[in-house]
Amino acid sequence: MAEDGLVAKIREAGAGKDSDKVQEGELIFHKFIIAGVLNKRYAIPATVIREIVIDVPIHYVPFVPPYIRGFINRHGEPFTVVDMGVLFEQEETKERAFLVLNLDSDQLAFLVSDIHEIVKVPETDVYPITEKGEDGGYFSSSVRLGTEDVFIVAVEAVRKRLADDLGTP
Amino acid sequence: MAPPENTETTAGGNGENFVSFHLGELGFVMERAHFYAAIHRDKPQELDKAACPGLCPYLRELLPFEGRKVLMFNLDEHLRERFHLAEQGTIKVALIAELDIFGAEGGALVSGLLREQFPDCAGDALAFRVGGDGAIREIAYRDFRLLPRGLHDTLAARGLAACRFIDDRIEFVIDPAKLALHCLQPSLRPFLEAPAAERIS
Repeated sequence: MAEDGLVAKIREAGAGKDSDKVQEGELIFHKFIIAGVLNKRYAIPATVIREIVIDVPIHYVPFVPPYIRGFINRHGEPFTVVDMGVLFEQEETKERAFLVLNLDSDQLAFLVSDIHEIVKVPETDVYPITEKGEDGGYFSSSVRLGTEDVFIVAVEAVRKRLADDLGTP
Repeated sequence: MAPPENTETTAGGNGENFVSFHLGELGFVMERAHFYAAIHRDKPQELDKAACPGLCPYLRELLPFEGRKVLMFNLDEHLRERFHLAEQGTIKVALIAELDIFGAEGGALVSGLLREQFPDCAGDALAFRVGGDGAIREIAYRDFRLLPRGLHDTLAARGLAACRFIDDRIEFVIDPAKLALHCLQPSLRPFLEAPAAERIS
């Protein structure tokens, strides 16, 4: 039983490490990577990003939707490249900046135009999106950065799109 | 099978034999066990397309082999079109396989195609045309990487099973039977196109 308790504590501590929330005193903060996609800025929770990679070759793969540009090689492992420009704006991203995701369930990387900054914002500046727009459901909330509201990318929604499109072969 | 022109032995020594070929910068490997003969294609006999309406576009040639004609599937051309690769040189290699590589159901389909449309061809074999640098190489299975989980089932069903990276290049492990079956079976040909090409938004 003691071991179970220890394992549970370690697991809980690990889970806390993966959370995008950081508590400092009374305030809770979220960390985001702000990335440019074509001419717009989007926020991606920092905890889902394993690494940022610039200018590596994309290896094309057939039989997939156009927003999947191919694979990149990360330490010998293939990662599926999802072009956020095609996904959000139906326009191919010309630049080569990759956000390699840290997921247990898949090997995914987001292709974006550029990386702007890493921000830590108080939870009070994160707002849920309640109205259903024509954004394909890729954004569940937004974050206030100065005078600008930046959509937060819902990684699960992107993964769901992939699963919906590819389905069962 | 022709003697290996370029043998690569893995450090662990637990390698299996694979047939390897390149189309441009892209490498492809297939299990050697699929094939029982390999010959350099010299002067293949062109099929009379008018006599075979609706036939798979990659079936255009007959290969003379041991006194028989073997129908040839242009695997290199199929891959070039799928991967948008430029045309290569004219020297080609043909690999000959028995129909059991297609499995029971697929084998029956190909056997029926040969019997009905090509009665003067060998009824128990199909040739696969590959790139001219085809060679046998020894590679360990552990050197390959499964494709990312989200795409694995879709690509494996279409004949792309795994890959490995060598410097800046990629090699795909392919299943020639699955690649060919999607072309030979008209009902499966739509799967050759991107599954969601019609809905970018």
